[in-house]
Amino acid sequence: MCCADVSGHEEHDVSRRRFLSYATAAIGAFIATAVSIPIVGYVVSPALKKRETPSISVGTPNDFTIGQPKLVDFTLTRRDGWVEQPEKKSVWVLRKTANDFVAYNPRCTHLGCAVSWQAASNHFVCPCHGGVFTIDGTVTAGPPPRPLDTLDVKTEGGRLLVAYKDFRLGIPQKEEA
Amino acid sequence: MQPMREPFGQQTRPSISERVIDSLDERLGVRSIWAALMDRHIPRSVNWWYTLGSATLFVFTLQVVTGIFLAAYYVPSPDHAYDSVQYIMNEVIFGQVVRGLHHWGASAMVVLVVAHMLRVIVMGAYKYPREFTWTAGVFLLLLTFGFGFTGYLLPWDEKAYWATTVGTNMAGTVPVVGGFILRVLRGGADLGAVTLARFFAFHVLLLPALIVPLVGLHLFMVVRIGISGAPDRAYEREQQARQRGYSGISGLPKRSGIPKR
Repeated sequence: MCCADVSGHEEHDVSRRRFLSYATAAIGAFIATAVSIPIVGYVVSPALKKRETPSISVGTPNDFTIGQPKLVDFTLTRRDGWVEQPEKKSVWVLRKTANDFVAYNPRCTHLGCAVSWQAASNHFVCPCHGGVFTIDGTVTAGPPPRPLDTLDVKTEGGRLLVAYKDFRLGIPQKEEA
Repeated sequence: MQPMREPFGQQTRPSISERVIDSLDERLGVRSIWAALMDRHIPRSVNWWYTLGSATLFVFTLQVVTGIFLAAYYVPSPDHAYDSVQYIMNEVIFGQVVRGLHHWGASAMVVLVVAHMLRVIVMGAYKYPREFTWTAGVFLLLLTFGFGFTGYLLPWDEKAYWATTVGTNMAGTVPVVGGFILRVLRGGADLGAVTLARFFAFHVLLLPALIVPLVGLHLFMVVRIGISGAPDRAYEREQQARQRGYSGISGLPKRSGIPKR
């Protein structure tokens, strides 16, 4: 509203009013943003937390017979927000050779039911939708989109340790849940 | 207002936002609503003290927003209340910001509401024709205290527990009905799970259901009647005369609340 405007269209208090309304809108937008950004983070943050990978002792190597999968049950303490709860879990452990172990997450890769070992037919079978896996986890029948999920096994001080993890279900990729 | 149409080709079409506003205005009269809310006449004698009501409204809005999001994690049960608050404070991103705003906003509400009331008293703004605005404001003050009292228990720490013990014991000193009031407030003889659950329910359901319509009524009357100016003896006499003059005429005295200056 300086000298350039010679036409006199702009009166002083009109521009002042305009300035104030823009300033009010700008400050309002700033406050709204300053409040919304923390709130978005606040709502989203629990989703960003990775689950811990507990190391489970499943026994000594000699607890397992070569070629015979064995279900090992254990109890995890799960931190669920502000609640700590014991949670029953299990893994299938298979001794392939004397020193070669493999562990499977017992959740069927289709939709998460627990698979069981059928010694008669030498297959893992899922009771829910008829998924069938061979002893090395390959799918031979039914809807599962990928083999059984293997878990890392290591020996430490004569004990077998399994790194327990859950993976996303119903998709062909093995992706940590 | 419709823009003038050029006869040949070069029509100046209004922008999209103008057309949206035009169509809304045609159907709902939004321009007159906007004008009634935003283009109000304000007495020249107003000063910063007159912003306390708006400041209260702002903090109130902030309390509503932060309160809604605190409820996303908070659990009103004796075995989880404290832990869920600690979870908000230590594990949730910006949890300290959201709870901090609600915590300090609660104190700000009480300070602002009381300061606002003092301004209304000192400026005589509670007088004719604003008695009902004032009355609604008194109830809003009580509701604000209700929010403060019930909200203070929710963190379920030592301070919350003992402050509510003291507060409910005060109610217990009322003659005759005190003991009964005390038991109703606590939901029994002792402060415990039932107390926490009902304080939470009142804090997030009952009191908001009461305060929101009352805030609406209070604001409606503020906009409808207009802002009062600073007291002025000549104006006072004139207003009394006007009130006498209008008595017997039905309907709202036209513009009676707006000072002449």
